[in-house]
Amino acid sequence: MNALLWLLQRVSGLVLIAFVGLHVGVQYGFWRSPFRRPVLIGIDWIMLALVLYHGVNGLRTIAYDYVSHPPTQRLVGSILWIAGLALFVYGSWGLSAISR
Amino acid sequence: MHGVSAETRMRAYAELWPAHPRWGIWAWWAQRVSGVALIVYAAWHIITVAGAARHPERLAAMLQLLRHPVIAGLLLAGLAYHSANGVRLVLFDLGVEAMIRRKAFWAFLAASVLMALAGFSRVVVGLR
Amino acid sequence: MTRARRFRVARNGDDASPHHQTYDVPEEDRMTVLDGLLYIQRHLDRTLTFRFNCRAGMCGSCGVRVNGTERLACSTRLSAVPDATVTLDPLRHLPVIQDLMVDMEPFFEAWRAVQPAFKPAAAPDATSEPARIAADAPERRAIDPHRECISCGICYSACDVVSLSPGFLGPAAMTRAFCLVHDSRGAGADARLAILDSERGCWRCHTHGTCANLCPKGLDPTLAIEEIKRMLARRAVKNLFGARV
Repeated sequence: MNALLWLLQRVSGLVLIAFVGLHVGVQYGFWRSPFRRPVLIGIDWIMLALVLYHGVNGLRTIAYDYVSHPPTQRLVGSILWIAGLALFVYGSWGLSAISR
Repeated sequence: MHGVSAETRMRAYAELWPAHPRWGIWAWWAQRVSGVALIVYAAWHIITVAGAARHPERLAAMLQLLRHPVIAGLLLAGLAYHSANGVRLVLFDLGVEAMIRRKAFWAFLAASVLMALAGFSRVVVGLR
Repeated sequence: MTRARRFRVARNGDDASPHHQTYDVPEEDRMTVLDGLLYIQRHLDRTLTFRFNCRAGMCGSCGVRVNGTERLACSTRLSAVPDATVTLDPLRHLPVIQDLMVDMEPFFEAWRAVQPAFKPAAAPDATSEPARIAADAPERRAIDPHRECISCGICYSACDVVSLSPGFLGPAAMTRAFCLVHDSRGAGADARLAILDSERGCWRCHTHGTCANLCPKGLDPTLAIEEIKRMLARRAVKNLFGARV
């Protein structure tokens, strides 16, 4: 499990470089997006999932460094994953509202 | 190391003082600090945009804040460093050698900073 | 006419609270930090306590911090030390017994935790042939850069994750584990990988690289740990797809 979390942290980071770069560029009006709106919403949704995974896993890694008691580690980890999931659900709902 | 005698290696060790042996710690701290700042910002961003229908004034305030030079500058700097260092780490994980990793980091950072400055000037200063 | 080099040596133990004591040591050509310590002990202060043995960078006994940087005392020329004053402190993360002498037990506890002794895959008997592993075999090429550990504890002291995470196995123990896991003659790879995969293990390493920068034998524990991570990641992905199919 640890190995897969580690691997996904790297993969999500690389994909996010592309997606966040695109997002920031479009938002700041630096370039116009080559994609149509539905594709942009889709990219935003994937970006939402990946940012929350990458960020929550990062926070979890930091917490596990400072907390060495396994039950407490699991508790902190669970809280973080739940918070991430909640944000994902809320963000998805917001995206679906925007897409209409 | 092949081709280098143990004596040569020990003499090299005895007479040389490592310059900045702990630089990796600073790189790591900066990665963590920028990462925490970015996820905190991202959470606020997600909540604000998702709640835009019910609280349009919060979205407007957020967009206004993002145009502030210091805020925009810090965010883009954090993003530039975090992603450049991330690239360096992934190269490490892939077994790429140190010199190439270092060059990739600086190249990526330079490219990010240039793009950030361009975006920055466009948004904050209004240049086109 | 030799000039004097100022030494500030950490004193700890006996009655006084921990402090640094200053000594002026006549600096001769090619003199090492260990030479300085021996001079102090012989001529200035017989109570000064430190470890040394081979004086040739092979036994790993004389690890100390020189001006904050972990070094072997016997293999550090005074001419190489950048500051005028040579400040000596014991290694980090290890209980101080006296002055510069530390208790290596936490280091060796981590070492023991990875099952550091070679276990043959098959019990040899009278008919067994010796194992034949070519010098350019893949496992030799993988293991050779990581073999020469003298367990001096410098990497363990230098590692900031050891400061941060109680129970972290540390660079040396994991490098030892790596060598054994790759050895085709040996058993116990799965058990060792399980320990490396635990919360004490490789995932706590954040690739600072300080261990590799300071190893007196030129080893690269960061690299060995990266190889362990890759090994564990490959296995996890295979298990994922294997489980599906």
